[in-house]
Amino acid sequence: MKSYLLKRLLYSLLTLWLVSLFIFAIARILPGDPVQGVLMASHMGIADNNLIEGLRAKFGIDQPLPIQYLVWVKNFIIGDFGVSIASGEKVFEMFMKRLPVTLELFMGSAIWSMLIGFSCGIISAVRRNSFLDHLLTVGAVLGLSIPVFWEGIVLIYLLSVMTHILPPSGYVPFTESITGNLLAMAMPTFIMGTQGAGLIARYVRSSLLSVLGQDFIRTAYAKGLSERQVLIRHALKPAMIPVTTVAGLTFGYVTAGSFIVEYMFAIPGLGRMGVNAIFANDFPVIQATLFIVAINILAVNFLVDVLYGYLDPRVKVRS
Amino acid sequence: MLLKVLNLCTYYQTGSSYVRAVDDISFELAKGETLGVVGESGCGKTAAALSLMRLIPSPGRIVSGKILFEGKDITALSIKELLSIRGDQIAMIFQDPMTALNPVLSIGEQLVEPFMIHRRLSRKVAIPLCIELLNKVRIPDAGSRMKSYPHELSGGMRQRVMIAMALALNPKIIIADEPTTALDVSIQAELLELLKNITREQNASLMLITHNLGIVARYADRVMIMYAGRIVEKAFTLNLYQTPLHPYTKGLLDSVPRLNQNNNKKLTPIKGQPPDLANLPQGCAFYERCTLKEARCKAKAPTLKKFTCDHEVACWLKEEGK
Repeated sequence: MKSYLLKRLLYSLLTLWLVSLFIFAIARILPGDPVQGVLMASHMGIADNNLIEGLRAKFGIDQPLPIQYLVWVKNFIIGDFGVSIASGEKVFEMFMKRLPVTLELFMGSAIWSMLIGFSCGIISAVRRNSFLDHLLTVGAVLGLSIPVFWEGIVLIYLLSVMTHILPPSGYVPFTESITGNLLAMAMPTFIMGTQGAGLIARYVRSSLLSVLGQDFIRTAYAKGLSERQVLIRHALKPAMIPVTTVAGLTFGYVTAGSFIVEYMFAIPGLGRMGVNAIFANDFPVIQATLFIVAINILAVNFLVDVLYGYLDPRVKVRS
Repeated sequence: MLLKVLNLCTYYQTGSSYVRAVDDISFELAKGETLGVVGESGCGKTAAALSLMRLIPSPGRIVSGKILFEGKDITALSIKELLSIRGDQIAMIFQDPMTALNPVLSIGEQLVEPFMIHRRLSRKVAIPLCIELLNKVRIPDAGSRMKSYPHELSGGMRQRVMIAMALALNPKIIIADEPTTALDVSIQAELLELLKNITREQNASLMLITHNLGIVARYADRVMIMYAGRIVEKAFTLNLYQTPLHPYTKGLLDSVPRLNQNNNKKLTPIKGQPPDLANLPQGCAFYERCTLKEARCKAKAPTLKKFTCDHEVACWLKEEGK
């Protein structure tokens, strides 16, 4: 088990290194010059070469690209994410300020998508081919195929514009008003979790169905276990094995969704920060955001691998 | 009589057609007796066995007939009553020990279940009982094997675990569905011997399903031969081997080598294929493959009739006795 985890960890680090190269490259390939952008705002576009060169030197982008990359990686390792070109703020501080907001959104959507996904999937599998199963299947397929932005627009129209049940956008900190916070976060959380819920429901259904058709399920029935006992004691654990992988992948979907959702609902989280940074060509921020996202996705997948080893005793042998 | 099956029919419904997996069979099983059930793949022996515990998977179902276990009709029991019989009064050993054990639960986890469910024992109390069981089926180092997972055991060991699991609560009937088919020949005899000894010790009845006539000859008190969902011959083991009556039984016996026979005698396989159970021809189901067929065989299917007092056969040729 230990060597298995160590191997997974090494793979994750290798992936992370490749991702860092990729992120660095993307940030540089984006058209436009961040320094020009800043000067455009502060000096009405009138700036001499000295000023430009000075700013370039200040942000270290006058250096050759390999040097820039090494400096970035070195600083990142010691916890220095750099300074935003657009605002001059420390990226790390910008980050910490927005983290709780995004975390709330993530946790909320993860919990609801898992809760809904698992229960719908299990019901569908147990009552397969019933009317309820068909209904849930339609729901799940809709959920995972509706684009996040479209779902957002429709829900805002239905719940805010037409019925005024929920605020159309904006963010209320938890410390200010708990109900206000929950109301503001309800719609974005729901939207962010929709795809995951649909995906998980589909996978839970098919995985559970294939497990329920196995010989050992018949053995369990022959022992005198009730349907419920068979499901809980024998079917769920093996059925979770492929689903954990999907749940891990869903995390990627959710992250992508958070960029759109936070922007759409004007929620001051990391996704919005990332989008703004891309518009401003603010590459210290772009790099840091993307890299943190990558680390998180890898961490989640590592966790999935750990869970795998726990769920499936055969993994230890295979590794 | 411990178990009495009357006119059992188990069909699988696919669209508008029926697959007659078990077609009007009747048999009995006495206390302590070993009944061999023999037939080719797809002849309905497994379906018959599963019917006894109402384990027929959808879309199959018991269409008609009675299964009287100690006088109670299993087909009419409520789910609750049924669950109290399964695994406690009647237990089953399945064919493939590779797939019949849950791969993600330890052996111990699976062995304690009968005790916990039927006897309401705690895990703590059940564990020593399970270790005792594993010793009984001669699994070495039983205590540490409890923590093993199925993939860590050989096929033979897994089948021993299956046997231990089935015997856990001293069931009155043990149904063994081809218990050694998936195993090495070298282990087969050992396991069957074990099964036989333990069932004898517990005075349990054994329904031994197999396609191996040698196994039946050695272990069964009585035999029934199934073909296309029906019983074609039913007899005491010795009678069946000495005077097989049905052409199918004769065919089966001629297609396996026997030690007491002339070595130069050629083995003769039964020609042709068993009929499609969804589309059974009129008349005797064995008609197409029978070497002795006559016109009346095609017209109407023969039913099981007593030939001598303990030998029944379903064949027109034997209808008028001797």
